[in-house]
Amino acid sequence: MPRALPFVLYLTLSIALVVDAASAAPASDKPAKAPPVEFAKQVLPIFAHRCFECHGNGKRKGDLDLTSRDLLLKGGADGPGIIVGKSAESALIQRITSTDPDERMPNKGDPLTAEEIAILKAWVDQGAPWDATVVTIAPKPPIKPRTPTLPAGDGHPLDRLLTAYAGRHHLALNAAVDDRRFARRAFFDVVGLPPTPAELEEFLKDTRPDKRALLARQLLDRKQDYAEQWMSFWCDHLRSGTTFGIDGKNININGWLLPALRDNLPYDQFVCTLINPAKDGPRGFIEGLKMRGVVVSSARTEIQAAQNISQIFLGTQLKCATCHDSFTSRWTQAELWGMATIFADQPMEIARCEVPTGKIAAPGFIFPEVGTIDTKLPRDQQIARLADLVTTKENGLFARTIVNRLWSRLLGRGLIDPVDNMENPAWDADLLDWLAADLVAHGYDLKHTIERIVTSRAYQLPATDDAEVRAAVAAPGAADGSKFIFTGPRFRRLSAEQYADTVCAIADAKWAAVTAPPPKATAAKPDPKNEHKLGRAWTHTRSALQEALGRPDRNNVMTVRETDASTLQALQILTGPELQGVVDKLSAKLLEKKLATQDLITLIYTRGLNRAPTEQELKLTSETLGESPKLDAVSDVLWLVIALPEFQVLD
Amino acid sequence: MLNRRNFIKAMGATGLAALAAREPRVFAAADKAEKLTPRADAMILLFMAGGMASTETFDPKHYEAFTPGVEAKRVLSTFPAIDTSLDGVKISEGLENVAKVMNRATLIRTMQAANLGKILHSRHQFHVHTGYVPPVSVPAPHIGAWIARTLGPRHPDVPGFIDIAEPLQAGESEVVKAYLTSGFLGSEYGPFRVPFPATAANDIRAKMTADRLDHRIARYRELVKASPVGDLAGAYQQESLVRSMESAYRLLRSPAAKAIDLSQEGKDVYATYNTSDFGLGCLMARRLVEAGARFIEVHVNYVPFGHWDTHDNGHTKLVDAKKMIDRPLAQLILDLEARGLLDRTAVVLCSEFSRDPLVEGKPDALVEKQAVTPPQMAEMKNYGMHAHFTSAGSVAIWGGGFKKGYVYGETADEHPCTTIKNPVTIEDLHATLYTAMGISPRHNYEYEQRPFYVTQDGKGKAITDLFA
Repeated sequence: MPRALPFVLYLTLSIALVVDAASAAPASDKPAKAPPVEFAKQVLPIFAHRCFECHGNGKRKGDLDLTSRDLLLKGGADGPGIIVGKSAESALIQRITSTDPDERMPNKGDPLTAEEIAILKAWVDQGAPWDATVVTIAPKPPIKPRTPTLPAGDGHPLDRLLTAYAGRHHLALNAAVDDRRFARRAFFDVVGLPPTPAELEEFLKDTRPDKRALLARQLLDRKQDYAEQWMSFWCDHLRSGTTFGIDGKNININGWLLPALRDNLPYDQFVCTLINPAKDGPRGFIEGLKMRGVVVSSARTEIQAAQNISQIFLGTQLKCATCHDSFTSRWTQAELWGMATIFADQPMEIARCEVPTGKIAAPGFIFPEVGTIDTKLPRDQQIARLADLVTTKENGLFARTIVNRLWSRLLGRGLIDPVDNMENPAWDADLLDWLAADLVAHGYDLKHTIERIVTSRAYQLPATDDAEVRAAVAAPGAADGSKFIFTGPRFRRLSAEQYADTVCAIADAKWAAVTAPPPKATAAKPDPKNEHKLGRAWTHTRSALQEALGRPDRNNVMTVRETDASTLQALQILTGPELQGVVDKLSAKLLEKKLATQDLITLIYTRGLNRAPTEQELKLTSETLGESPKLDAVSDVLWLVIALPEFQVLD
Repeated sequence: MLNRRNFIKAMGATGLAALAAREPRVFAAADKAEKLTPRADAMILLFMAGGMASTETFDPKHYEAFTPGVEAKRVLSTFPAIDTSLDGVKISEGLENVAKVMNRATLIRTMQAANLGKILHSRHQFHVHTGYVPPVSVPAPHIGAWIARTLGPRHPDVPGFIDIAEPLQAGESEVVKAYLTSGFLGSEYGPFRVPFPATAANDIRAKMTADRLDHRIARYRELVKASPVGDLAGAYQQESLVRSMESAYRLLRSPAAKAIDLSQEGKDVYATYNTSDFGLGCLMARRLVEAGARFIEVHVNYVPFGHWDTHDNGHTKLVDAKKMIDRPLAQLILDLEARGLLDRTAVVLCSEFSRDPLVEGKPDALVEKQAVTPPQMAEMKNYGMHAHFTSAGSVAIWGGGFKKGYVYGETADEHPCTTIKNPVTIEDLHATLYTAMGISPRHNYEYEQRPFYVTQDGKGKAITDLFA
């Protein structure tokens, strides 16, 4: 799902742009007849394609850097790059129009076209407006591990860090949510299902002061349930279960993934195995989506491997650097291709936008400060070395990326957000770095990090939404330029799989058993244990309902799912044949219990929402159900509960 | 600490709507996006899945009747050419009704399918529907999703992108599924699917009476109001989930719902269209355009080795395939015209590539064959276009501000009948269609901090010569 910039940021930048354009005096002696030049669409592409190779991407030939307006104005060894409003007097324009081959820029390749020159001239004459929303050349993310000192005091380390954060931002943190809400969050997040009424009752009655921590541990020990809950998360990331049919070799590593999660394989080993799998290991991840026929550079499986390793495990997008040095970050083609070539059978010649450059990619890791790869090593040892460099303790980004993903999954927004842009600052760097160091100190045990987060105060705060965040940012006292202030977890939609499984849980059923027609198992093929028979929704075909609720097709790496409500989703819930069939079957099962009207309603509410119906709710649903419940009426009441926003949103 | 309740009250309804706008953002200055004047308001894409042989349909060449042992190279068409209402332009026998409306058509004869080496239905189908050759590093949206997202619905309760007659039941349903997607634009723009036109009116209503559904919704509203969660629920989630449910319910009673009820058509009209699900899909498309639909795709659905995907018995199979499209396609054009809708509705017929008896791929870049045609056609089952040809495909466009009675691009009269003038790439074809709809080929959205364009890298150029 594409993400909008935080509103405030966008607004600020828009204003900046307006001011920028307005302050530019049309001082040119020629009247500016040309229509307004669009920086993002007309000027930036020229810079990016023709200039950045020497005056961007970390290079500043002649001391000139073109990656910001200030730098351009400042210019290089020969003085200012441009005189705003005066194209004829601007060095930039003089150099691109020069007829002297030693002077003329770019000095590689063809001169700029007349059209390109006209655009740049007009742009300078119009005041050289520079839309800051588009060109922010992102730095590379920090790579070194860092263990911040915990603030003085006792208690949960994350709470101590959060208290310090709140102090800095003059925030009065809310009280933690009640036990019922906490239990629902913990159950859904750890095992993917709501508590049963008995489980909830037991927890509510528990009087031990540390009962929340005990519940978290107890849930994390439910190995199979934990694994099934987190399968969806990992399949989304690793593309396990692609659906491209005969023309692509599908990736399915579920047979390895499920046991790995069940056994809580330490995360460094988990990733090592994915990058450097044994012959019978989870090869699908690194072999990628292999298409028959000719593919462009960006679709080569070696490039996919490099793109995906950096995105998934290092929170760093290098896709841009596939075709050319990135226009929006410091990443170069040589870096991406250097990592890709490690997986190649033959030397890879770098192609710029599909045109071969004659340069052969040199094996390397994108963060050489962590370690280099001896190019004399045989390929399998190079791959092993790469796996080590990605997962070594010296690579702090590796741990930061995964704890940030877990935080994002559990609280609805990352400490750094978007989660694939780890070059951005965290809203609390100490929290992020401490959590990462803690993961490493505990042997890369992901369950340990989940436990840390679930037992923290941050996780247990009341849910918030964008409006509240925006108000917090705007609040006097908090204002320190932060674009985001943490006030609590976000409201979260149940995932497609959680939704389906929870619907079934109301009648003690499994999705596989009640979906009609029986969907084919997608997890079956490489999995000797036939895990699909377990029957939770993740094991089955991505149906129209599942698709509408946001389960991706796994042809692309998907690190955060779309969670917006849509008409098509609602239509699937309202009249979709799949859900309707399930509701009818579950209703028949409920009817078999031969419960009195109010008891049946109470059962549906307590199983689905973990609370008893209110008097008003009981009155309304009793009217629908009638005194001697019939199948249709049970089906109506069950539908009413599972259609409620409350059922679909974790608060 | 802020009081949520008061804050939300203070925000008011407009503010809430703005909160919900976590939508794909037009890259950079949204308001400054190039604005084009649309020639068409709606589009119907008629997709001939499987690879429609152009020399058997819209670009007939030398007809060679079947005789046992006939030299395959001589067989350019297995049907004679017939005259059309457009002087000097012939199409293939079996399309007599279509021939009558060719004077309203712009006919492109030189569509260039991508050069992917091996000829692969799924990759080409994905390309022709999204503008991007898979695998793509980001989820590419279908052309219908691009249009729905960019232009919005014509009628607020009629989905912006409707897909008809592709039941996803064939062995290769995954292939079709991959491109029937709103991609990164999000499910709001995603195809509203009508897999079975004949029974759609019942299918959409679910298996319950209207009264029962009405009761459900009425009670749903009461329960939402009665929910003790109330103001404590996230305003955005609560609002947007309720709003989407209301929108789904409105859809069931909208002009769209009436439009998909084909029983409301007269028997004769129904019979004219009723050649197949594709035929009924054409009727539904017409009704949906009347109701305010923006983009509709109707499929001759993809069945490996069926319909247009002829690997043997090509001639025989195409007799049936043409019957499937001839009458409904022509009637669709006439009906839209009679209703005054054709001028603002572009009807576009295309396929993922063409076919040839011998050449697999491009004439200068042959690839491994997937069907064997002997150099002499010994039996009737050999008679037909059984190889996949990517160098010249036909695209027919009616209405929507395109020229009436115009042919673009030329193909050779000798085997293989490849493009000799005015090739049309998929990028440029898409650019032309987007431009007709008033969308710049460089229109783009931000995804992963970079622009993602409606035509690949924004490079498509509209063929303005095709516009009236």
